[in-house]
Amino acid sequence: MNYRQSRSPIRSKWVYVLAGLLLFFLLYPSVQGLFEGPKSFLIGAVSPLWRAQDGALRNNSPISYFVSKKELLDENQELKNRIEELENLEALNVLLSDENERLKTLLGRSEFRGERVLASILIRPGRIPFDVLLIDAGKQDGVTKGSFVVAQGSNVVGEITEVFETTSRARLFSSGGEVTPIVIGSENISAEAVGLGGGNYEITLPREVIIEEGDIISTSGIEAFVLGVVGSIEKKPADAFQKILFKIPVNIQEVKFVEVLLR
Amino acid sequence: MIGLRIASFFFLLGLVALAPWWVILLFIVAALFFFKNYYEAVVLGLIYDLLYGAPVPVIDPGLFEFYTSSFLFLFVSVLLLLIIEESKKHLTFY
Repeated sequence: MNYRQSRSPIRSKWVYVLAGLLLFFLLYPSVQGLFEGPKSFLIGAVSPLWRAQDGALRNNSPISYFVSKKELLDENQELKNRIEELENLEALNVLLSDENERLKTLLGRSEFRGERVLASILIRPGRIPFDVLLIDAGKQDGVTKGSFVVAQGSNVVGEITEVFETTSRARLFSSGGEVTPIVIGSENISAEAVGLGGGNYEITLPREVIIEEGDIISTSGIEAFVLGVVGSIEKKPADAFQKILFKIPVNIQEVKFVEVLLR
Repeated sequence: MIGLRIASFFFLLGLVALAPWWVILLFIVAALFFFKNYYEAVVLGLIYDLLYGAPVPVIDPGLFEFYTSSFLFLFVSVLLLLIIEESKKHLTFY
């Protein structure tokens, strides 16, 4: 007597679920628009919580509201000293900035003259497993998709990918697999920087191209922004190419504010 | 038990808004072990991706890059649900 083997219900569940996932991914481009509404709603609903959390964490300690008067006076004096120090540095900075501008003009680069919007970083890599920033500037502030995001003045770190009413999402150029056209050094050698994640980039060039550690890497285009400086160069004797590694000059984990360059 | 399950969903929803991703993952795994067929994990994965998801190349750029990268947490939560439900059948504790 032959007994028909009963089909395992466990295997069936796996098949259905995986088939359902595959169907979802295949149909997603057609129904992508359906997710925009819920996404905007969720972002709008949660962003006040992010702002509140950002404000609370700025104090560095939950008990900062209970510090003694003496500690506040000491902190006040320390901040005054620091302001004086920064005012002295600012004068030097003005001189260096003018010289920088003159040198860029000689190299054929221009400085961005458009408007900038200051935004605080609500969510950053580390908190989420993506190289993405969520900032508190959105449509109401004039932010548009494709705008560059810079940190500490002129260090471009990413590009706006999605804009909501009061918040925006920016993808870091250093996110894994992200390809950014760049130029290196004073000879403006064109290349592509591939993001490795964590603020790191990699450039592959033929061995014959002369690159030195410390050469400036900037975005290509009429308005150039600094992406970083050459950190290390790897050349293997049998390899026809050299690998150039660099990282963004700012620590995205410590930066509290960024600027969005309005188009 | 239903009340506890609803409360756990809203607790995890709060974590999705405020906590680092690894904390959320830990609690979701705990909830998957504690509750039977905790499909709410899939909903939470979808919500997480809608809030934070960004296209990150998982496979070489091409046909499958777009389909797989924006819904990483949804994919992970479905996998966890299946694996943990399967594992529970073989654990004497259950």
